[in-house]
Amino acid sequence: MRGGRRRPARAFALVLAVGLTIAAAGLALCLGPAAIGPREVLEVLGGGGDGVARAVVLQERLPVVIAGLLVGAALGVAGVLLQALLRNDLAEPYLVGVGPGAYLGVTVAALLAGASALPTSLVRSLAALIGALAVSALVFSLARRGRGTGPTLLLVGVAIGSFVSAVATAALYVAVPDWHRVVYWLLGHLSPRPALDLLLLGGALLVTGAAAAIRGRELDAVALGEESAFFVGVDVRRLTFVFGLAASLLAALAVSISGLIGFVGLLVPHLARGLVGPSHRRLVPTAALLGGGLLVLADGVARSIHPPLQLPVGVVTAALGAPFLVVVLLRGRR
Amino acid sequence: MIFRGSPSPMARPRRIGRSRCPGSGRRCHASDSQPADARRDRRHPDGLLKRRFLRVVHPRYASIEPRSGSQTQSPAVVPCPAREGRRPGRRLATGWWLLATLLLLTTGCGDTAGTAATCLGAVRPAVGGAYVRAIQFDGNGVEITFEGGARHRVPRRPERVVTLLPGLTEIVDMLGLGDTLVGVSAHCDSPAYVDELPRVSVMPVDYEALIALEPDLILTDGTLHGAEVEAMRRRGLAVLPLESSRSLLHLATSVDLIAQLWGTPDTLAAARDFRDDLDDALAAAAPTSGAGRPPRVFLVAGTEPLYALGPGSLLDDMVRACGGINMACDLGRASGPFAAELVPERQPDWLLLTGGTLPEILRQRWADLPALQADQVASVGDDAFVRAGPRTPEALRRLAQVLHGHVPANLLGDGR
Repeated sequence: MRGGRRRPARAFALVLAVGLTIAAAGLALCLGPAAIGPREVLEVLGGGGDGVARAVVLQERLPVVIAGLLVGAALGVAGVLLQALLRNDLAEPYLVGVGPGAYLGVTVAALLAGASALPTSLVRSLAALIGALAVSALVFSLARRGRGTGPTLLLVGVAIGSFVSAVATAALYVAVPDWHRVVYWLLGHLSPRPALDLLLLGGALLVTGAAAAIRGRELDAVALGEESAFFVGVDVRRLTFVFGLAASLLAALAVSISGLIGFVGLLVPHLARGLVGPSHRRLVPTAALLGGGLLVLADGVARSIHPPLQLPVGVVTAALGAPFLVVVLLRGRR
Repeated sequence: MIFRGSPSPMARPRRIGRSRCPGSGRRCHASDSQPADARRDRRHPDGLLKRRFLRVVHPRYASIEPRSGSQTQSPAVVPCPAREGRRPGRRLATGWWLLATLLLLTTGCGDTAGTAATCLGAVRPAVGGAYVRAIQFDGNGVEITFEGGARHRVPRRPERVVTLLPGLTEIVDMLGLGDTLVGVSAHCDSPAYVDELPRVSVMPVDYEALIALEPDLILTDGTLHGAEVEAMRRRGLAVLPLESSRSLLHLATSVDLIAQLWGTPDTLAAARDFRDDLDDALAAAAPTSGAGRPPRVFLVAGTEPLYALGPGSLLDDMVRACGGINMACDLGRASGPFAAELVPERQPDWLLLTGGTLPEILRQRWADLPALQADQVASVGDDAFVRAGPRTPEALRRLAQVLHGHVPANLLGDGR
């Protein structure tokens, strides 16, 4: 399924991805329950506009779009890396301990903050990050004691993840009266974030992207199979460890910013593969672009679908993305 | 006698014609919508009679003119406090309760069950709606008919009461019925003696512990514990689902209903005192005629993600009783996630937080809002605001003083 027959020319495909992402970001800037349309957005971006329009576009929508581009990109890249390393099309960024770890972290933060007060956003983000990194580090170190390759990592990740989720749910259920708020946060949402968070995520994204470009051939080989990778001289264990951790770090940073936004990390690698093929040198940047674009578009829809209520963005990513995924997969099989 | 409760006024928010949210100019969902028959009820000849009576017996109502209108017959329904021209209406509604109590006392209906049913008819409890359709008082107690036709009984003068909401525990204590309590929810902490009572987990409800307490009455809130009420009913537990945390009127009628379940002079007097207190607070909260633009209030229940309180929450009703406008008037529910970009669009004058303080990042983003420019960010996280109970009138007074600008915002609690 990874080798679609009719595919646009590679260079053109990447340009197309850039164009789609920019279009999605522009559309997302114009979507929302406030009565601020394309004309007002252009005015504000051109330095004009009235106070309310400026506040809505510059303080609310633009920061969300920037955060969404970065989070979506991180989820897309993490998904590509994990699907290659685990050689499993169902792999997604939260699989190897990130999701359950973030859940545990947020729960512990809520417990520490006391029964009545909820943790502030900074504490919660930090707790999610620490939890996600700690649990995924545990998964990777345990997997390394075994064979240290894809299938072991997958199984250890699922096992540890289930265990951690169970502990977190029990703690949440027993000790946090406001547990529904924690769960709602975990459902995922985008909001304007401090520049530091975004810089961290952007930096991690750049480093991982560069590393993936340098080691692209090795990732291609691992994605084909452990044995073939071994015979072309790839240190599969080391590659799995390094890129697996990098993917987990990306996903953990994304979670700490936006909660658990589902489906993007699963869907985007398949979309990107359908567009540019299996080579990781092209796949990683394409997944970053498409991930960002999809997420900001989904968030725009989530904002405006039933105002003033805001839907969890994960609901919209799944609803928008699932049909695409099916189409891409069916076309690939033909 | 069975009298039908109206579908509860908050059960299905409706759009009110052309009312628009200030700031956005968008059309609002009406928070305070009510069935057409409930609106007609204001013009019920009986109602006019009572208002005239009130003008005579109670000087506070002397200045209020009764509304004129066609004298349509209508079924017995709950008067809704929240309507246009509602401020005098509010006080009249409160006056109804006063009248009902006067009737209770003069007819001595606390003593005989049959009369109690009539009296309750005069009070017209707002228990109807989401879960309870009708209430029938008879010799041995109360028969509750739920939506869907299921029925069950609650005894009169129960001796083993369990309350599943802190506000209801306080109400039971206020009515002098504290010694009937045999169990309280895990969140109840007032009055002090409830610390010694057995605790029942509420989320989720621990049915085993509940049954072990052998209660003959369980007081809870149908709006908060809807599914649990049904589960208790199926287990044969005598549960009375009130809707005390929906609005001030719902609170007052809940207090009345509990008082009348016992029907002793002491409980009825305590309930009357509470209504007087609430009535005073409502009168004090109503803005004076010379007041300027109504304060536009945004009730923040959470910031990550942004969560707002909308119509159907007690605080929403308190804000409106103070003449304020809830900026989340179109939320269509008591609380829910709120699209953040609507906050700068609607330009609230006040940010009231039900917990914690305003995070720094929101403070920066919203720096140009009138609320932040005027430093009108306050906390309403006190139990007095959050719990519908005996402390609500006092909370209403404090809120009104702050919203009317008589005292600084930090009288409420520091939300900064």
